[in-house]
Amino acid sequence: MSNLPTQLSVMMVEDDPIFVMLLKRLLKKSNLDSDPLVFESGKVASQYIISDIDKNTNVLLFLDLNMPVYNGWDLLSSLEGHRQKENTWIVITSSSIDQQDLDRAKKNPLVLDFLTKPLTLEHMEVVKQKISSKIVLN
Amino acid sequence: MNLDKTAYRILIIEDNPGDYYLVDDYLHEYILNPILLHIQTFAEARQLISPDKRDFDLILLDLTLPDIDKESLLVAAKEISQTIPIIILTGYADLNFATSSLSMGVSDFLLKDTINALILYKSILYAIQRDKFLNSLRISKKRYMELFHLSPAPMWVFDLNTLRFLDVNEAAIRHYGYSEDEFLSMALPKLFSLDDLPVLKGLLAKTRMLQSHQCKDTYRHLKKDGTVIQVETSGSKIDFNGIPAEIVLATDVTEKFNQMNAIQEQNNQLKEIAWLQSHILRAPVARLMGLVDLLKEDELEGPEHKEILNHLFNAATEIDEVINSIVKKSKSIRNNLHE
Repeated sequence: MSNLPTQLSVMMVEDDPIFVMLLKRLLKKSNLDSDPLVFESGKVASQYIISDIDKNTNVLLFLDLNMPVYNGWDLLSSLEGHRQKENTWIVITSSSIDQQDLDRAKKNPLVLDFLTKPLTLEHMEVVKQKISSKIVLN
Repeated sequence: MNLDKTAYRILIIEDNPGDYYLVDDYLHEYILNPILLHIQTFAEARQLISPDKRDFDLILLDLTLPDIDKESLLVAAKEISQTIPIIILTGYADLNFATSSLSMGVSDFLLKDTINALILYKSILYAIQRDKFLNSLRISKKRYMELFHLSPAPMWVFDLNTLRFLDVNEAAIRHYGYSEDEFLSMALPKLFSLDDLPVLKGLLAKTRMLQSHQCKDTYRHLKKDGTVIQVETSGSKIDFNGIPAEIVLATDVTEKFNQMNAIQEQNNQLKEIAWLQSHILRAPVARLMGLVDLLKEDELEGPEHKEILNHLFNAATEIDEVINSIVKKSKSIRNNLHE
């Protein structure tokens, strides 16, 4: 049984309604969250994370990489200095894996994983495992 | 001493019979069978001598002839004889003039009063040998000039200090559209557009450092009519009549360059197709897979089930559209290839 923090704020940045619907169902099924926050815009999400929630809030963010104007990378760099890897877990999601993107994501301490869509229940289990192991390490 | 058996062909232009007799006599003292032709006026010489045929090995020329003054004589004689060596026969009175004749291309001068058989023979031998030597030099020079002038690729020589053109070949004139005079009154930067002057600067810096340059990158030149061409050049430093210069061979690679560009363009289109396939096509596929997963796992109720099916259909339609656009792009590449 995974050892998740009791207070975990789950969010997603996703502009495709179908992926939103699919991920919401997965989150519910895997008992991660039944009512995650959904942002269609990375910019709004960034403002919310930085200004509207406490620094100590645990955040699990599913972040779609490919969005117009303000993409996943923009959001990631906006969080620099505002969020710590101890309580921020970002899962990058993308329809296709680009080796360059993957390498870049690995370098970011806030990035927990890089998942290729469609996301599955197995993916959710992996995410839970990873968060638990990080918490144990900390 | 044995007589020289070479059958020298000598034209003697001498209006004084006494002097001719003496020369004839002296010649036979050292030469067994000279072929002598004696004429008395320059007008006759004009008729006889043709530089193409080289009927004579040597001309003995009296400076004082009845039908021409000596200044005009030298110029005219040199003109009609071209490369046939000339030895001038003259008296003391004309010593100064005779001396200066050497600078006009005359091989030698002999003073009639001091002449003897040996002096005459030695002078003739010397003039003919020297002519042979000069001739081989002329031939080799001509060969090199032909290499330059008849080269099918544009070539030129330019002054490394002033950058002015010093020589251009036929191909350069034909290819760039400037006449020879125009070329020789302009300098290298004229072949460059203002934007490309830094390129020229770089080339020159390289050239000045090295003995020769080989420019593998193509760069742009302008023809007289403004047409831009892509050229590759190679050059070597040479001493051009005492001026530090570079001889350059230019190859017009415009066609090759355009082909390369077309290939590059095509390559970009192919990359775009690859990108379309991996990214744009992957999105609806991922959506479709996610929806199918949902159908498999969940017991969905009527309206929800219908909605999922709708989404599935939309995703499939989107995939179809992306594939169509890839087919279109591939077709356009095929058409470009057949053009």
